[in-house]
Order: sequence, then structure tokens, then C-alpha cells
Amino acid sequence: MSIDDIRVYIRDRILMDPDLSLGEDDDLLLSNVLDSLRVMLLVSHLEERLGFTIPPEDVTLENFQSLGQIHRYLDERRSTV
Amino acid sequence: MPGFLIHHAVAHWARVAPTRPAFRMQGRTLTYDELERESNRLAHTLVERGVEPGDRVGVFMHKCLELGVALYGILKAGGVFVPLDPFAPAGRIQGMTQDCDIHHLVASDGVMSVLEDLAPEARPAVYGPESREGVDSTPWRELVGDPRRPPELTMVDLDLGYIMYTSGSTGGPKGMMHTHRGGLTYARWGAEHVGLTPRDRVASHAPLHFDLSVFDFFSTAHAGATVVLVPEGVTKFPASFTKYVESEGISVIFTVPFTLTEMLHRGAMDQRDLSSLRWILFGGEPFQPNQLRELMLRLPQARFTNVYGPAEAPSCTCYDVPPLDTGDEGPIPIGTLSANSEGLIVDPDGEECGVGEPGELCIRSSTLTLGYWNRPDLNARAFLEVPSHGPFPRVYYRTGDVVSRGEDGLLHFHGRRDRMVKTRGHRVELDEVEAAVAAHPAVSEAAVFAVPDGEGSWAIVASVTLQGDSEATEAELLRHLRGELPMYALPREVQVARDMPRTTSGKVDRARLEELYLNQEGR
Repeated sequence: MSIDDIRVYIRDRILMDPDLSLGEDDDLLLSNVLDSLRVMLLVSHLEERLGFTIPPEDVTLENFQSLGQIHRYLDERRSTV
Repeated sequence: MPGFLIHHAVAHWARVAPTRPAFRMQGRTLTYDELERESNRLAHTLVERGVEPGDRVGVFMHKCLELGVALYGILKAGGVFVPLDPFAPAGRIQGMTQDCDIHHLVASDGVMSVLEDLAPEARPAVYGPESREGVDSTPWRELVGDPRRPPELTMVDLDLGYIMYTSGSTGGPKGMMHTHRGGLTYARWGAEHVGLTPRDRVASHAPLHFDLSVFDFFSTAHAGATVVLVPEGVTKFPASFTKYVESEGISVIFTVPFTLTEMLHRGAMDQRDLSSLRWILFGGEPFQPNQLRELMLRLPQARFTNVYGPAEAPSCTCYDVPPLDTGDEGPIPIGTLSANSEGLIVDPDGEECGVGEPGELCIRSSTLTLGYWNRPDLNARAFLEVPSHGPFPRVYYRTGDVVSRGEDGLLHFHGRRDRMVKTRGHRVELDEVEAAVAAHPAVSEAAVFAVPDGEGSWAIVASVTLQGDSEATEAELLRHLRGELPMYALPREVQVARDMPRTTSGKVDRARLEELYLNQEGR
């Protein structure tokens, strides 16, 4: 799953805002893109798409603060499951 | 002990225990002495720039160590602080700053881009961040004046200390005026109930514009304890929050049930040492008993208190919840009236209700708001006046909450009389959301209702019909709403319908809409 796949999912399915522009390092929390409910939606979508689980202890600010961090985390997680 | 104005506690502890931390955030600290000196400098600067007693000064900041400097600096200047949600859209911020005439505002770096979006004539003088193109600011390092003492001003505890905005039913948000006495009554109640000591580390989890923050900031200062500021990003991730509680050694938390339920299910609590937590207070909406029981089992050393009180009369009742047994599924009582609060439960004719009989709770308390800023229409409806023998009537706030008193004297909450809902602890007037939806030019008619969100709280749903040939989509309507409403008040869904169900009198039948929504496939 590429950074762009995650971006498109957040833009079209979670926020439903076709004009949203999101850089790889933009803070998803401070820029009002994600809140706790949307994080949950995103996590279940990622699990479904990628076929592995994301344990609750990994759903943290460090792993989900930006598109780049989500992507890095998913790469790491994939290599350990 | 601390005096009769909110900021006296800081001066007291700066004298008695100057090196003790007043605030902590992510390992950084601000001592009581530093807080006293920096807030004195801000106060002198504000006075020099023209802030006069009673002037409203905005606090538009993300969680940061300077937040305390802002609050106490404004109070010491005789000002009235007005928390502005750092996540609110510019339109909403401008509405509030114009409504209560804010000409000065303390900001943090992260909100400067929102300030840029305000109309130039509506832009207040900014303090805190460095200036940037389009927004002039007086940065922290350029504050002036004697850090050893605050400006000399005459103030009494009936003077306003802060105005808190909340969702209003007739369109825009409404501002509640609170006095120093009200804030301090709340602060003392909290500090005494929980037995706060200087060793306590109290989380500041709730946003500043949410009245729980009065406990977080002022009860903690009253006791000379430490406020641990929780970064907003951390509050959105239960597993990050539990980690933060562990690493910062947080001992007291006051939050909404939603946060605690999230912590329980997604906080990876079994991997954390949370033994520092000794007291958890919760309020804002009912806590599902089975969830609370599970949390109690996870945190056997902690005590739990259900705190009830609308923002107009905060913390007016509370209930220390005893350990719950399996099978205790009844709603958690809201308990008994707190010190310095008195309540009447009245039926629609204004007669007092008997034991077990539900009626509207009316509250008289020294935490009571002095009313809504500049809203004579609301003030005329919201308060009940009982004549006294002197010139000052006894004033009760009509909470709009339906409550009954049981045989055992405990109060029970039954719901609302109007269209206000709590969604994940946030108070939202459905009529305000409806007005925002209806304001979109493509919308012909809008109805907004709340449905259970499956996690013990409520989700907001909008249903609209469109003007003749309009082809506006859900995404378009949501984008419009994001510019008008705070995130928590956004509908989860905007359904575009061809027609609305009607009652026999021709009004939109919202109850039927709700029913139709819940009966849709897959819900």
C-alpha cells in the first residue's frame, strides 16, 4: 500500500473532501484531519486491505501522526507478521 | 492559604514553594515562580496595551506550557479570558471574537494560520508567537514590566474571570459569564473532594473551552499541585494516552466517559503500569455501568466519581461510585448536591416534584454563571427567580435536564427536555447543526437528529432535501459544514432525500427519520 493509497482513502472515504491536499509530513492531528473516531475507521480499513492486524498498542501518535509515519509503520509491521 | 481571586493561588505557591512545578508537558516544566513572573509580565504588557478591567481577552492556544501564563496573565490584568477552540474553523472564531468584542488575544504558533484567515478588521492584537506575514504579534520575549508583582488593580470576586462558549440552539455559540468566585468555588470543591496535595499530578486532558478544565487548572493550583498538560495528539490515541499517564505519573484525571471507554478497549492497559492513578472523575454524559465496572477492575487502586453539572452550573452534584457488582446494570446516579449548591426539581407548572417523580432540575450555586453574554433573550428564559426579602432574588438556572430524587436521597438523570445532545462528551445543540446545514444555498429543507453510536454515546445525522435542480452531493455539504462547525458537531452522514416524513401538522417528523435511519439495512 503506497502513501498515495492512504491519502486517497482519507481524502475520499473518511473526510469526503476532494480538495484536501495532504503532504507526506503534514500533522494529521493538528490539521484536524484525524480524530479518535476517524483513526478507528482508518485502522479497520488498513487491516482489511493488508490482511494483518494492527494491535491496539501500535495505534499511537508516533505511528499515525502523518502519512509518512503511517506508511513506515505499516512497512515495519508487515515485515514482522 | 490562597486568596479570593483565581490567580491568588499562583502568587501564594510562588512564595511558599517557588521551585515546585506548576505545569509539566512532555518532560518540560514551568515552576510556580516562573509562572508567577511570566504571568505578571504578560499582565503588565496587556495593561500597557490598553486592556482594562472586564475586557475580554482570547486564549487561542494548543496545549503548551505557556497556556497557564496566558490564563493567569489575563486575570492579573483584570481581563476576562475567553477560551477559543484551537481546532475551530476561522468563521466560528471570528463569530466569537466579534460577539464578545475581543481586541487582544494570546495565541500559540499552531493557530497563526487561522488568524491570517480572519478579516483584517476583526483581527485582535496577538501575544505569544513570533510575528509572521499577515499577522503582527508581540512574542513572549518582548513582554515588559516588573515580573515580581502584578499590576495594581482593584478587583472583587464577583468580577468576571472567564467566558466559556458552548453550542447555542439559535445559530451561533453562546458565551457563559463566570466570576472569580464561581471558578474558585469549583476549584475548592474539586481540590477538597479529591483531597489534592502538592504531590498530585493532575492531567489536563479536556480542551480549555470545556469546563472540566476549571478543575484541571484551578483546583490543581489551589492545592499547589502540578498540571500535566496532555498534547491534543496524545488524547486522540488511547494507547498513547495510557503511555503518557505512565511516563508522567499522572494521579488524577477528570474526563468524559468516552475517553475512559476508549482507554479500556484500545489503550493496551495491560502493558502499562498505571498504579499512579488514584482518582478518576468523569462527567459530561452517562457512563455505561458495564464499562465502568470493567475499568474499576483494571484500576483497583483508583476511586471513581461521577460529576454532574451543566457548564452554566458546573460540578453541582457528584457521586462517588462504589465498586460495582456483576449485574449492577442500572444507570449510575448523579448523586447529591455539592457544597454551595442547592437544587429544586420542578414539574412543568413550576411545582416541586415529590420523591421518585421526574422533573426539571433547577440549580442555585455560587458556581452559577452570571448569564449569557449579551443575550437578554436567553437570559430571560434560562433563569428562575424566587423573590427574597431584599433587593436580590434567589436565582436558579433551569438546566433542561430531567432528574428525580430517589428514596435514598440520590439524584438520577433521565435525559433532556430539549434538542441538546452529548456526543463523546461534547455538548451540541441539534438546532445549531440544523441551521448550519440549512444555510447551504442548495439545501431546501434540513433535519438533524441523533442516533446511538453503539459505544454509549450519540452520533449526529443530517437529512436534507435540495432546491429544485440542485445536484449538490453529500461531500459538498460536508465541506460546507467543516467551515462552520467544530469537528465533534459534524454530522456522521448527510442523507440527501427526495422528501421528508411529516407529522400530521406538516412539520418534519424527526422521530420518524431517526427510526427510518436505524432500520436501514446493516445498522
